[in-house]
Amino acid sequence: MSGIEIILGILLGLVVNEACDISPWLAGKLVKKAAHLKYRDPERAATRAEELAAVVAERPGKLFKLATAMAFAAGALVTRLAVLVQDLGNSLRLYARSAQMLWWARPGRRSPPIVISKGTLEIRIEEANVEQVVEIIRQLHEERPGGVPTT
Amino acid sequence: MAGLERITQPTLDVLEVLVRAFDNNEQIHGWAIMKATKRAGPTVYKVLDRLEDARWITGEWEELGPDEPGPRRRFYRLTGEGAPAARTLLSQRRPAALQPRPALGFTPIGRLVALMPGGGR
Repeated sequence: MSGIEIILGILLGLVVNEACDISPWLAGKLVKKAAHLKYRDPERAATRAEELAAVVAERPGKLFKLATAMAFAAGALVTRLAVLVQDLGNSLRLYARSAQMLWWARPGRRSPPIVISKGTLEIRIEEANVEQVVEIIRQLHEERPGGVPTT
Repeated sequence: MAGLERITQPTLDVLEVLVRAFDNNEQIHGWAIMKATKRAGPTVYKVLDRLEDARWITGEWEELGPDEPGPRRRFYRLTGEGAPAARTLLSQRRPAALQPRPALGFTPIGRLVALMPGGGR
């Protein structure tokens, strides 16, 4: 065994020992962050942060504490991502609707014709001609007080 | 009081534990609920969030003395309105949960003898 291997072994041992010692502290920090990440309501986030810290503190063993905190952090991350995706979907739907309305309201857009149908008869009136058609019907009313023929 | 939007198996598990604690006039904290239901922490707390939002449960902080450092636990209890609602839900979805459970332990021999034909005489 070379000198480097011995030094590496000692260093690795120290790192593992230190990691085990800081894991409860890290778990406490992680679980508080997880609570604030998960809950948008600051009051509930503060409540859960302390409560989850108590839950982690009750777990036996240093690594178990860290594992529990990591599970809470993962759950919080998933919840936050789901909320973000939902918000993004809502925003995209809103943008799409706005774009559609702008498209319909664009200047110079030709509206679809107004269709009046009765039996096999179908009359298509372009939007630009509607006023003219109304005027013709009004004149026909004046000329024929008995009414305008329906066919 | 609002109803629950989603009734999942973990919801029923947590309600079962809470109803049992309510019947025994006990309060139960998150870690104890996790242990009793054998469910993961995030799952249990998701259910607790929903139950709190629906006002089926209420939480109370543990009182720690000045010589007891550390984060406080939060104890949960079904509310006056939540208890009958939980019971109704469990009777519909999990009727066995409301059956009285046999207590663990030893029965005095005399009582067992009394159950025998002829009362053991």
